[in-house]
Amino acid sequence: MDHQAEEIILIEQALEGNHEAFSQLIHNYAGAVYGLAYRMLGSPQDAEDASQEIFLRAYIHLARFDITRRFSTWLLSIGSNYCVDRLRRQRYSWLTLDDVALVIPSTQRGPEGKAIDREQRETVRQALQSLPEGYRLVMVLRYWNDLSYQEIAQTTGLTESTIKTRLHRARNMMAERLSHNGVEVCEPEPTTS
Amino acid sequence: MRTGTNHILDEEPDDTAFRQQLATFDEPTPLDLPPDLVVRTTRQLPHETPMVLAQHERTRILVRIMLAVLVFAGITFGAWSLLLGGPVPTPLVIQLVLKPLLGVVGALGLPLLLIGVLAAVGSGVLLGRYARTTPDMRVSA
Repeated sequence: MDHQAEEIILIEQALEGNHEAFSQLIHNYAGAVYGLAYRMLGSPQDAEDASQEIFLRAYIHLARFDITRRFSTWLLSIGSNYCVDRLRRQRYSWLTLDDVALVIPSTQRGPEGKAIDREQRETVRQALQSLPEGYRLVMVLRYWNDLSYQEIAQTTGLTESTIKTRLHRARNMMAERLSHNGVEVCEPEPTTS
Repeated sequence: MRTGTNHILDEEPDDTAFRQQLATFDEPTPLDLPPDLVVRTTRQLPHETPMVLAQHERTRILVRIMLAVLVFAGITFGAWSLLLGGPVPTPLVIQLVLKPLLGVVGALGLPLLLIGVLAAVGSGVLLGRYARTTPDMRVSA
């Protein structure tokens, strides 16, 4: 049985209230949803809360799911909307000292290779976090969730040309921010066509 | 040489270069999931089936619509006549809305008014589309 047919059976069982079937769906997509939430929201705690909320919303609205669509795209569209809403709400809330401490960039470099890798990833995370949320979303969906332009369009409700424009600008912004951190970002060779 | 916005539409070279760049940062890296995330999330699921939850939602929407209609009718016809029946006076809201509109039609003529309405609707649609497709440029903290 192929993956999609298996998934449809799980969805049908979940629609009848089978929590084990939905739990299997959570298991299959926890990585994608948690990854999206973490890269959008920037903290593990927020990402964990968001992941739980996204799956809860998916369960509540499962009857609305169109079985001809891909479940992953539908689930990520719920996740994208939730993260963007949450970021907008956060913009109007007060920052606590803990929040401030989270965004202060670390300047310590560890002696081991693993620590350097972590620091490099942290640099990318900070550059990503500095992007406006609409740009961050398409970047995360494209490069971390590995969606095609068409899938990003289905997830976000944007047109493909808007997505390409946002990706182009977001890449430039990230390149600029990474170079501010002392990391040179290579520009691709201009094509002659 | 790339000119105009062609480089945005044909973005495969940029796309590939950015992926290569991310790879030098060891990205994309799969994240470690919080322990028991699946179990804890499953425990929070409602006991009702999604079908029942959808029915509840439909009922909620219907109740809201009925309440809105009641409030609108109350404002329009007056709560007194709704509750006690009797002759319904000419709705005040309709009078207030229609009178100035008819006055404008009389003064400017119907074609001009139609053009104005079309222009207003068109601007609204374009503004709405622009608001939906334009990202928020503010940089979050």
